[in-house]
Amino acid sequence: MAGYILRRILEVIPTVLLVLTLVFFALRIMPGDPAVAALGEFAAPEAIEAFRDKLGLNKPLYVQYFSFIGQALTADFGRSMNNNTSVNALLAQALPHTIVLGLTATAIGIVVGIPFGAMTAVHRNGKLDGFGRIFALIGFSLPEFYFGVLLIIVFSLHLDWFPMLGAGKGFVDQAHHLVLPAITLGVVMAAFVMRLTRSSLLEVLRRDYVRTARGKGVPEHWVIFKHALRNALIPVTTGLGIYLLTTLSGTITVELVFSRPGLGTMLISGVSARDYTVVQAGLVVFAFFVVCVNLLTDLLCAAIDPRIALR
Amino acid sequence: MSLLEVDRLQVHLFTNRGLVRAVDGVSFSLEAGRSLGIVGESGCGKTMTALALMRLIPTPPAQIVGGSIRFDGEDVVAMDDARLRALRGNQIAMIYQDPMTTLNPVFTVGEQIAESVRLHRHDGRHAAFLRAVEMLKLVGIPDPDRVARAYPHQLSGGMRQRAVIAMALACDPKLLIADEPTTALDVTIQAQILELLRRLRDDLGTGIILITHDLGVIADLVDEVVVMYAGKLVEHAPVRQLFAAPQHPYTRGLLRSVPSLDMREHRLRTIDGTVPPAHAMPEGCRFNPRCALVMDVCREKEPPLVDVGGGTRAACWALA
Repeated sequence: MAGYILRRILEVIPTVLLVLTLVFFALRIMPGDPAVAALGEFAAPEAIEAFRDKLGLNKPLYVQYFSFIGQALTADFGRSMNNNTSVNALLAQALPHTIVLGLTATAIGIVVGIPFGAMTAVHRNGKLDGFGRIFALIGFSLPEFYFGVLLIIVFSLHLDWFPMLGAGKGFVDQAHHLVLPAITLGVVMAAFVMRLTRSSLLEVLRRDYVRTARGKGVPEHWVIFKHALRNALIPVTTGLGIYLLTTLSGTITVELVFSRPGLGTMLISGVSARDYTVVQAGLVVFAFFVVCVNLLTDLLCAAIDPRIALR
Repeated sequence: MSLLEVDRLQVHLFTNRGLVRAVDGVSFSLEAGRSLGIVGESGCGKTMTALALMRLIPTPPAQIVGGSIRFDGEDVVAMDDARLRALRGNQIAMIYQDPMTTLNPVFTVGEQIAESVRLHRHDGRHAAFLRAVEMLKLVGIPDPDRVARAYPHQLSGGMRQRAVIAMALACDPKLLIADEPTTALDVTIQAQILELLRRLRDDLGTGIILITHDLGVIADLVDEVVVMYAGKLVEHAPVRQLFAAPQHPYTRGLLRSVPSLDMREHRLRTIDGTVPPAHAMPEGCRFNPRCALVMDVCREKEPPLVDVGGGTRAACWALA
């Protein structure tokens, strides 16, 4: 097991290097000039030249590339090309909001999706299953930007239960601000997790070892939640891992809809300002999340299924 | 009072293609410490019968629609869920056909054996685990301590089947139902498993119901045999009597199709024709399309099960 974990962690290194390289060159191919974006279209050519000089944009591409890689590996992303604040400071401001939003949404997805999915599988074709089907249909077909706006209209404008925009200050206020964005992301994820759990559990409930458990006199709820669900969770975990990556981009949409500070908002403003350093840092952090989620998914699967680590 | 009395048991399958009478009016009984074999081709209802004894048939589509199963005088068909759970794995235990799929892949073998001990004897985790190791030792597993901590995928098929047997025996059941316990195994392992079952019957006095399509296995291990064809009991006889003087044409066909070393003929004898599809059984005797002795009455009315002497009952118009 320890060897498996170590191997998986070592595999992360080339992935991260590749992502860094892609991010760097993708940005350099992108049309637009950060100097022009920062100083305006009618700035004097000398001023633009001086600006480019100061930021190192006149250096050969490979020099820029290696200094970027070096920075990224030491987790120092330099200064914003636009307003000279430290990118690390910007990240420190934005990241917690995105992480809290993502984790809360995931928690909603798991806590609602898995038990609900298990119950729809057990009462297959019953009333609850029918309700689940409708819930899944809604969850799957509502895009986040639309669902978010819908929630704002109903719960903020009409009912005035939750604040509309921003992230709030202090714990209670922040939690209050978090509810609608987290539900926007969480409901969609719950629908996905529910359907995945349902189909996976239905498949497992047909297996011989479930009959063996019943034949031992194991109470039915144990049969389902101990013997069957643990096996059913293996594909659910993998699916959830893949889905979390979709949710990462979902956070960008939701942050825009709710005008929340966060990684998404930071990235969007960075792109429109051609702020290479900010966008680079944002993308690297995103890529880091992706790699972490993948690693975590694999480790979780290995923890659930003893057959995996040996492969 | 017999340990097990099955009376006119009927199991129906409600499928999309129509009603299937998987088990149709099967009756037999078993005394404590005795063993009974159920033989027949694939799909004759022998596994359905076995699963029905513990009410483990998959519902839907299968359902017990008639008859009774009395275990120690208690009606299993009418039992509530709690009573049924107390019986399963405790008084009646089962050995399943395929050891590759019978064990749960995410729990260790020891945990799975210990589970029924904890459920029925209310032992603590440690005591139950020790019992699991003891059972593994009983079924002849070398290094039982290590095997108890292993996951099923780390064991061979023969070892897994031993673990399944250990699981079935963990609470000293009065009745052990073995559904083709050796079919999925190599021949050498088969012999070891059968030897193990024989020892258990003799040493522990466990009643055994052995389900198989292998007549050689039956001859070795059981006192009485029930022959099933297409959901019907066609013959019920003491094992010696069955081999010495088979009564039903189907039983005779089955015995003739067993190859033997001193066989003069070069070709293996078979029973002509095939089992009719389950949802389109013929009128009258279900064996009539394949029977050499078929008469008009066989195509019209089902034959009754009659006593033909020597302890044998058979359902055939030629004997009635």
